Amino acid sequence: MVPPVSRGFEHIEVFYKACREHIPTSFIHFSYKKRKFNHILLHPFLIKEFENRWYVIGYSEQHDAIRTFGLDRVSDPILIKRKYISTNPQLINVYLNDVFGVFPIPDAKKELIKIHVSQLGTHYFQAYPLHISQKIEKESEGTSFISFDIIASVELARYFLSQGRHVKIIQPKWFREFTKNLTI
Amino acid sequence: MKQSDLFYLVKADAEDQLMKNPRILRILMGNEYIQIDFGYVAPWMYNRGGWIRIAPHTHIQVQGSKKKYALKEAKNIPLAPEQFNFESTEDWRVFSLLFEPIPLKDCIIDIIEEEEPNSDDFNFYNIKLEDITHMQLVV
Repeated sequence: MVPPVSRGFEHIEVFYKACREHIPTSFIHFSYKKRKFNHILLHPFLIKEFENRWYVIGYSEQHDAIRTFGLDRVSDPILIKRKYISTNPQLINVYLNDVFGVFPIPDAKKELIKIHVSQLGTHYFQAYPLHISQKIEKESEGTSFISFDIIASVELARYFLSQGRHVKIIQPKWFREFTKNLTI
Repeated sequence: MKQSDLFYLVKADAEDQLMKNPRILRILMGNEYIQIDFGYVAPWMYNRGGWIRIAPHTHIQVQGSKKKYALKEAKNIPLAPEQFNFESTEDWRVFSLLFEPIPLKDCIIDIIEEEEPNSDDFNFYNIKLEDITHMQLVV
C-alpha cells in the first residue's frame, strides 16, 4: 500500500542539496500555533525525521540561533548564493544523538532524566528503548526506574504524558513541572 | 516562466505590513519579473474563512512614475472572477504575484488591485525597496 503524500515532503530534495552543499535557503514559514507567517533565511545542516514527520534544522538569521522547522509548514524554499554560516559539528552531533525528537526545550542541557515506570510500561521500555542512553533498574515486583542521559525535548515530555499513570518523572524537577504544564 | 541568472531578494518586513492580511513576506527582483510572495490567514469574520482571488488588472506603480507594471502570473491564487474558497477560519495560504520587472534600484512601490479600493481589495502602499541585498539565487 502506498502511504498518502505528506505536505512538505516535496521540499526534501531542495533541503538535502542545501545541507550537503552548504547553501543558505530562503523560505516562508507558517506557525500553526501562532497563526503567523515569517520569512526565514536558514543555513541548514540537518534533515530529520521523527514520527513520520520531516524537519529541517539550521542556523536561522532571523532568530540568530539554531532552529527547527517542520517541512509541512514550509513554502517555496529557494537556494541563495550567499556565504554559508557553518554550525559547530559538535552541536550538529547533539541534534543527531542527544535529542529525542526535534524540539529541544530552550536552554535545556544534556542531563540525567529519571522516570518511574509501571510493570506494564517496563515491558514496553525493555522492548522498545527510547534512546541509546536508556538504563533500566528493575524492582522486584517488575516496576522500574529508567534513566536517560539526554537533552529534554517537547517530544519527550509529550511521550511521558501519553503514558499516563505508567510513567512518573522523578528528576529533574524542572522537567516534571514542564511536562505537567504542557498542553499537548 | 524562465528564471534569469540575476535575482535579488528583498526583505519586506516593514512595520506597517505586520498587521496586514495578506502580508508581504518576500520579494524577488529580477530582469524578467518581480515576484511578491504573500501569506494569508483566513479571517474569523467570514463564514468558513471566506475566499480569495486577485484581479487580473492588478499592477505595481513605482512612486514618482506613472508607469504601471502589469501582473503576468498568479501562483496559488485564482484570477477573478474565479475564487478560492477556504474551508475554515483556521486555513492559510501562501501565494505569489509575478509582475513585469521594475528598475533594479532602491524605490518605493505601491501594489494596486483597485484604483478605488474597498477594504477587501489587496492594495499595498509605500513598500520600501531599499537596502536591496544582492543575493543571487541558485537556479
